[in-house]
Amino acid sequence: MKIVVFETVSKIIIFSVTAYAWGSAYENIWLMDEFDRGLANGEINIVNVKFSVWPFFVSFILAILYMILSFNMKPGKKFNFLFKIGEFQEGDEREVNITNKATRASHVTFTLATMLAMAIMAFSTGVVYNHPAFPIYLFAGIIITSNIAYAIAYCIEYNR
Amino acid sequence: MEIKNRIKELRARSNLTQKDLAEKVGVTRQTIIALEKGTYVPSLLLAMNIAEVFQEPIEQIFYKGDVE
Repeated sequence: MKIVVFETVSKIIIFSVTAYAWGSAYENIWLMDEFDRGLANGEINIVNVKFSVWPFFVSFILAILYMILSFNMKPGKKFNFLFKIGEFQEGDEREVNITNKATRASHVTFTLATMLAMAIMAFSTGVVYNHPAFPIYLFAGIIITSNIAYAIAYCIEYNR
Repeated sequence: MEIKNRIKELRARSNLTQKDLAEKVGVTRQTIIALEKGTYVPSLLLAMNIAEVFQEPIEQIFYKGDVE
């Protein structure tokens, strides 16, 4: 259970940093497009583009750290890439059952969160105009929400 | 109806720790704890492995009980 909690917290941090990295990159690309649109209309829109690779670099380092720590924490240490990037615990049949239930909870949460995100996007045109990267953060939010649902379901089932 | 078991009693009689039993049947100690608490119903294979460790028929270890 400690591994699942560790992996969920790590993933929340990694997804947040990655979303910030892509979000800030997207906002800068948006500004450059704004400049091009202005030029097409014969106007010069002054835009302030600040592109940084640091968030990408930090998220990459965190992802590598996460994979190494996660690999070392798991018993057996069989390197199965798919299982190592997910928090699937399959030490024995009970853990497989718990993982099944947690995955189901995660799937249902993902579906509901996606439907909610679509509704939020439909009613947030003003927000998207001021913060073009809003859909990227929303998408990261969906993934984080389903990861949290997985961890909660796993911990509840594990402690039963 | 729920499935009850005598694992805790048989384990104590055999002087086995939860960890020992877990290793013998190839599961984690947490699974043995869950079995003893009655919150987890084992697969037929695990039940057979446990019966083999205690040298008892499965029906002597696992039985149907009323929900309290």
